[in-house]
Amino acid sequence: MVYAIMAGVAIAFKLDDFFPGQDPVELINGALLYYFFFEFLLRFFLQNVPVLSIQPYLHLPIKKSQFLNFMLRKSQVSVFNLLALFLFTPTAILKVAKEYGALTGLLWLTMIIGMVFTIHFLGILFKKKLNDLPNLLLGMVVLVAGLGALDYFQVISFSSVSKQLFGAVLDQPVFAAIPVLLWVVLYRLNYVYLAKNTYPEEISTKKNKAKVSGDFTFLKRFGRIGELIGLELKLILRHKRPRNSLVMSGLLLFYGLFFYTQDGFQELNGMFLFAGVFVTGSFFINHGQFLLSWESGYFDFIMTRRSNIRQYFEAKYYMFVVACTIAFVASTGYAYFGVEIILFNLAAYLFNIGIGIPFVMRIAMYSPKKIALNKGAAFNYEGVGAAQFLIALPVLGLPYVFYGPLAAFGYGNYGLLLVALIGLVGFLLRNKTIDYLTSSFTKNRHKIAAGFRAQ
Amino acid sequence: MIEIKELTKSYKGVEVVNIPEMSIAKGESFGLVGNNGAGKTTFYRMILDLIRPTHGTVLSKGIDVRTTEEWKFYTGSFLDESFLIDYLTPDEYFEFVGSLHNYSPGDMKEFLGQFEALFNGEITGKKKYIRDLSKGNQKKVGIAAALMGSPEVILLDEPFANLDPTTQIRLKDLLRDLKEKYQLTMLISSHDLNHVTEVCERIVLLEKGEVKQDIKTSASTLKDLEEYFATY
Repeated sequence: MVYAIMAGVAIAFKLDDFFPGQDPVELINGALLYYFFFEFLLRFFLQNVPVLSIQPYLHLPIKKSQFLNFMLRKSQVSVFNLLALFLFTPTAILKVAKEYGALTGLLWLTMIIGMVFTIHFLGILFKKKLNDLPNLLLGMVVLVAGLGALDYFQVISFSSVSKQLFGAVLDQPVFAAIPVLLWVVLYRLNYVYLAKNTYPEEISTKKNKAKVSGDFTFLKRFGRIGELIGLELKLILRHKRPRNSLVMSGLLLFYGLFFYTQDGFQELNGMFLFAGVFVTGSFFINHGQFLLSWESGYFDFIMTRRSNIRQYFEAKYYMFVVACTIAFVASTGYAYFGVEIILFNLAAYLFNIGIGIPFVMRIAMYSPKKIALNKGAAFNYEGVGAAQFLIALPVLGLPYVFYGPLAAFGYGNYGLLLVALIGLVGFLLRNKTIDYLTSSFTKNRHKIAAGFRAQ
Repeated sequence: MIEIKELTKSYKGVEVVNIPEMSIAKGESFGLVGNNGAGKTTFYRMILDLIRPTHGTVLSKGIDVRTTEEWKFYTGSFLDESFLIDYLTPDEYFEFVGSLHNYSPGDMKEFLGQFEALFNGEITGKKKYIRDLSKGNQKKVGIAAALMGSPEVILLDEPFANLDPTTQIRLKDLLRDLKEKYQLTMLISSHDLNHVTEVCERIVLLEKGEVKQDIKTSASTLKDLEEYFATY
């Protein structure tokens, strides 16, 4: 949100500097169509449809029209609707109002707001129609790709279309009424659609899938530990949020590109260790911070079953080690940018498996919060507590405690060796660390369980 | 089998369970009744070491449940959905629990065989996650899994709720059968006085965390209990 405000102010002030000689208002008008399209996509993937939650009201003695209106109106209070407001209000005041007069500025902003809500209701309607017509999405993709291609090959220029569309209000203020009118029309359309389809099973976005994913029978060869790892992998693959964090970890493998492709990256040398820790360890940082929270839904099961708690932690530890190893092996591709990167990554990898993983596992036990796995992933901050905010800092910073001083005096290689050695010692002592993790868990088990049970 | 000594639990100064002394013998079928908030589930959770008692101890086979994990090897339990791993299919779940008890595929087949009537063809062999099952079917999965590994003690909270009439009757038969064959100690809590008096030989009535009645089931028990709750 703060970013949006800052970006909004920046747009208003800096546009002149970036594109000298062009009219900033015209420039923005040209970009608006793209922006609204982007916002539509953003909403489509991230915004959940609040109107779906009418079920609890259906049986109450309230008129249908009343709660439908209530739901639709309530849905307008959304972060997404503020985004454009924050982005463009500064421009409206500083540029449009200055050049075209206060009234036009106000109307220009009105137009933006009208568009935002038009898109808001369009998004809701679209998302619901999608259930009836699954091919709609495909059609949209084709349409968008086609239009994009037309734009790209300059057959039609959307930016000039956008300029004309949104610029019209500057010449003829009455046009500001059009988006507002659209807003009202779409509101009405939504209302009518909903009123016709108030049966929960018809508007629910859940699909009945008879699909069971992931089979990790091969892990059984590794005994109980393998079995537990298989369970955790199923947890990851069958829920959106942990799956997203896995994908995220995969993408973070490319994080190194940021550093290595910099000009004069030799001077950035000191940052390589940081990149190494991140690249090889992103999975355990992402997933491990919610170590126990992931399983809060069946925590009582873990506590009462004859699975030894030590094995439970052992399984998690080895899963993270394997993930780090895979990431490290994949990261050897960075040798393209210089063989020394491998050395940095190796040191970071060893440090991660020896120190980083147990560290994260221990911190994650500090008053973990419940996570309802079956909820969506976007903007889901369930389970995030103080520990999760701070967890990455020491993991990324600790290696520098050892590496930094030596590197500062020009013994970077020894520093790296020290980091690697410490990690290696940590890994060799893993049984002791797992024992420690088990005992600290056993001490806190009632507190953790109570935390998960509390709603 | 299970002994309770001076067991109390209080939340913010309010006592929710207070049981000075109780012992449950091996092979006993023990029924716990009481209105909502009487402390039934809290009591069971303390037996399973899921809640730390404010005072007192729970001994299972003479050993404090808080000091070892021994009891987990002979205690089966199903209190609510948090005992199920809901993103597995029932088959996967049974397989996982079975692996904790070192079941071979043959053992598993034999074990699931007992439940064929109970499952009614709706549980096993289906490609459906537990989270997508109905409440009643989830309960069946939970109860079956609790009986895995031939436990000596089993704790069930409201086992009859949400089940269809046929299943209720089958479950009662199954529990009686297990008790006779293996001397299974059963701890059941239920709001359904009919079922609980039918299955259990001993009924304990809990009210605001305290034991109000502790009786051996007889022909008149059901009537007495109904009277008690009617005048509550």
